[in-house]
Amino acid sequence: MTSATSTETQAARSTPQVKPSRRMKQSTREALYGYAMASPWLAGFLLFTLGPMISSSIIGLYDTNFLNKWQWVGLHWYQSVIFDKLVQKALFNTAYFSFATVPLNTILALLIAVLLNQGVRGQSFWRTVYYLPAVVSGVAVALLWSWLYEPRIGLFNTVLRSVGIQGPQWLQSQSWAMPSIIIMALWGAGGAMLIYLAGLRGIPTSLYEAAEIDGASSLRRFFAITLPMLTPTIFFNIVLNVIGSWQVFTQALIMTNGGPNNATLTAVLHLYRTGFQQGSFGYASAQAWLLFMVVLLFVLLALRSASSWVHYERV
Amino acid sequence: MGRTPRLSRRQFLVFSAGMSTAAFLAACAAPGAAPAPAASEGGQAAAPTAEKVKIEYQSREPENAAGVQQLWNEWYSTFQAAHPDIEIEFLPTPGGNEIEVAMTAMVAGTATDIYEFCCQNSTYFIQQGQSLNLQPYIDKDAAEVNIDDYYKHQFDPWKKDGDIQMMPRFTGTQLVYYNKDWFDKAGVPYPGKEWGSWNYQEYAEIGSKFVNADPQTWATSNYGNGANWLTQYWLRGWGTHMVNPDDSTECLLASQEAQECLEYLRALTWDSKEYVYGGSAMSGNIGPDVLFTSERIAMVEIGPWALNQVLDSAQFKWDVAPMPNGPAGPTTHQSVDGSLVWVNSEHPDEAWTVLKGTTSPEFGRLYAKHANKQPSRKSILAEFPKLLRDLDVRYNDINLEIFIDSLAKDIGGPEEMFAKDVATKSQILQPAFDQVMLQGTQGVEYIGKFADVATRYNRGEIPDEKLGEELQKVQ
Amino acid sequence: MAGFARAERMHRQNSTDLASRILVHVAIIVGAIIFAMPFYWMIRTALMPKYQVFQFPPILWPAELVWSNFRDPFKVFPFGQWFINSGFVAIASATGTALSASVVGFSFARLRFPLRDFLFVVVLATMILPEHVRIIPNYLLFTKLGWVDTYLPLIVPNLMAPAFFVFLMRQFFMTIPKDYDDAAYIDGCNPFSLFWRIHLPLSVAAIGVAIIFQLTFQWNDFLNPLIYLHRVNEYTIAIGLRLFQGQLSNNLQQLMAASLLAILPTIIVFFFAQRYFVQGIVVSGVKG
Repeated sequence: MTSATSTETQAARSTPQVKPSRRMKQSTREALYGYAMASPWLAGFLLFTLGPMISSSIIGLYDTNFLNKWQWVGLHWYQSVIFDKLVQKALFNTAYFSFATVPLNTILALLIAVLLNQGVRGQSFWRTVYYLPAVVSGVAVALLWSWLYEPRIGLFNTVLRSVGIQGPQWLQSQSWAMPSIIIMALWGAGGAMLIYLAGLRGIPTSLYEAAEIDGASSLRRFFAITLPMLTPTIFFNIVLNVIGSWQVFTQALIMTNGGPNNATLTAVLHLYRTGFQQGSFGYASAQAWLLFMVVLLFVLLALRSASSWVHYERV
Repeated sequence: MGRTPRLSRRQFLVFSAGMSTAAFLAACAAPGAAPAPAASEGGQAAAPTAEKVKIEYQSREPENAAGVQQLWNEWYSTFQAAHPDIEIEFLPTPGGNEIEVAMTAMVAGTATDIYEFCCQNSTYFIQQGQSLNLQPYIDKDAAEVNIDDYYKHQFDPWKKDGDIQMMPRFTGTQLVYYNKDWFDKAGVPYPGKEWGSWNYQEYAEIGSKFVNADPQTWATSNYGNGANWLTQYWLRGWGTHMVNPDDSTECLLASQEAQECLEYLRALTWDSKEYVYGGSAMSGNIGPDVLFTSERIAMVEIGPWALNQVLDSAQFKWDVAPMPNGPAGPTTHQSVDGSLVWVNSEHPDEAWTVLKGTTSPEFGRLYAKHANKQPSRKSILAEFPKLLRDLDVRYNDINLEIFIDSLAKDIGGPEEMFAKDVATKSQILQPAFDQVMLQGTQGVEYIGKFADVATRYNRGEIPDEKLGEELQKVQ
Repeated sequence: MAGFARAERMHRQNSTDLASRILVHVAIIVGAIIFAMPFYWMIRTALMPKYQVFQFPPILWPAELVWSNFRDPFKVFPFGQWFINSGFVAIASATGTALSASVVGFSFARLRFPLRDFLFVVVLATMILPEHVRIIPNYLLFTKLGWVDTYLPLIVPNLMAPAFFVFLMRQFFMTIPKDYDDAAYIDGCNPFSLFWRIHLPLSVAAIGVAIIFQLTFQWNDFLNPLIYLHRVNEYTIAIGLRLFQGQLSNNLQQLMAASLLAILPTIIVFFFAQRYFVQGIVVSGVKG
């Protein structure tokens, strides 16, 4: 999108001397290479992704359990899903999770990556420690944390009690349940950290050398060089985080099953129940596509905003 | 320019080459791993087992998968001797995503012949028309099946238009486990050994002796009083139900008896603080049996599946007692776990033969021996205490006879299911229970307000997409 | 004179550097303790006899270590086979992903072709639709292909540039100086050799991340193997472990033991492989 436009203008700028006729030819060649090199994805998309996506949208036109009921309902599900108060509640909860997790996760992961990049001793060890939580599979993490959160004998409240603080009821409380799930999500910041570390490695050291000669403080270097150079990576993490956070499911299913009092009823949990537990797959598909539109909107906004803050290479 | 990019590229190539080689070697090393498309689809068509019929049997026994594997090995040889024409492929599967696994295969037409299901999943697949009607088979083999050998309500959740759709594998009777040491210390007499020997008032009275602030202890717990079977057995003690037994669309939680019962449970949690919210999702997912064995509670309401765990873990003397009576008499929960034949099975007759085998008394005995399951058949239930005591002498001190009594006297029943069960329980009732029982922020009449919504929803008067709106009106 | 002033500045910098270095170390250690805390709890529990798990006051480290929590699962089930199966799926997927996603990512980052920007939005969009509404259509597709009960549904889609990794690689290629491209084209490179000779070597860090991520995803993936593999010998470690975990909550110490065991290979691979991609290449002295 915008990012692409910037590359295009760069490209146009960097090859102004090429004659029009030759340019035509080269752009055709480039396009051919472009398609050829994108073809693994294109093939995979056409073979494995497009079909199921289209069929899921068609399923939304039926009242169906996939097994012995196929009743055409037209746009009924797609219309009513917008006004369904439970769906709205679920979307609201998911938005809460997303708007809290995305910025917090970005800042935390970035902070850890920058700290670890300061040439500390035993880097491999520290990196592993911070990355470890991202490795443990979802269910084990969810069970482990629901137990750490146990209000009476869980680790957190035990520790808090030992320093004289009465801890909250965590997952058992309507107001604390979602924050608890958010805190747990931050524990997995190691994945994003790793991407930032790789991004930091890609920053040419010459830039720092030049800044050092100019006597720039390390804080200034961070804001003048590191952060701008890292924006493509930050952009990546934010977009993926937005997509991922709107699909929050396993934690809500295992830790709270949507409760208490629907405080953690997330969009995907609700559509999972509608589909697989109530056997109403048509309505579940409509819910999924509503969620799809919401998230797509955010992703497009992020793409649109990219030109104003994402620094792509324009040497 | 970049330092030695050439070398790095070589590094990458070496790395990926190494990876591919490893992948290749792994592929060769793993015999099952070599992708063999289409071999599975045709199943018996491809395999040269001309006269043998193959039955695929999907087992779901996560509580003791190893034990069940041993049970299967032992039982299968005798089955094969009796039925050389039937070959069974035993497919154990992890618990937790049964619906996804079975649904995909059923939609694709490749489902296994027999499935083991429990609880809401049983209801789901019966409602979706995926179970073979077993009634004709049961009638045909009436003597062998001996349906009277099961307790009265065994088949309640498994009937469709009056016809039985599933056969039981085992049951589980809800009991009270209690810490004898604590009872001794508090000078409280042990509960009686017979059903009906104590009631809910005595339960609360005795329980109050065990409530302590520091270190914090409570009297009792279960998996949490939610919109599920855990509240249902108490409701039956008050002579009422969550779901009207004659009309699965009607919710009876607004009835006076139900309200009195719910108030008893609420007060136990929030007024006398005797009940600690147990191993529900919202309270740490820690099983209440663990609270019991780690000496945080004096008693626990739980089924026979905890026997083994408590026996191995408890560092104190303990025993089991019957559930206390409600005002309307004795009550308990009888969990039912069963198997169905898939409606599109290509070999329904052979599948039925297998099912008869897995519900035979021999199989029940092996189930008790290898997986400690409480048999469903009354005739072998009498052997249950002995079977367990043969495995471990420590069971000599435990009053296992209670299990036999409850079924012989037809006390209690299985989980009550609404016509639209999952949505009714999780969407309509559970949020109300959360506020009353889990958080103590509402009185029990709040739950009653949702009974009418539940009924109208189950009768189809409220469509799915309008449910949220209706709930908002009541909240 | 100038030299002296510079030396003094350096000295001043060094002392503030020392202070900030101490600060950095303290922050890293404190953070690591917080991050490792749940993990410590996991290990502690995995080594405990069941009755101690919830004792009060909590026991911080078991006096007597119960290694049987680790051993028991091995007795009945083909754990070794499961590890091999998982390794096969994970390695094949990761290799295929790294190769295909880097090629595709380069194309989206550096080559101009009609509909590219639209297709890139499509790449992102494929990640947005929740998998739960695609499970059944996917299964039907793979049944038609005859791939059920093989590893193909788990591997083949990953050989075709999964969207996540296309996006990852694209973002990294976007940061490589455009000058390189111009220079390479002048030297007579075609777009592929530009990718192969210039961009790929400069992106080892990103490729390393992609490989580690995909290894982890595939190693931990639960739902897909569960749906597509039905025989115990075909299982991957992630589903194999669940087979005996039962009422997960009743058996926390075994669950923790098994989970630790399952992630051990991932951790070891990560620990030793990280230097190849995070430390291995230093793009130094890029002159603009």
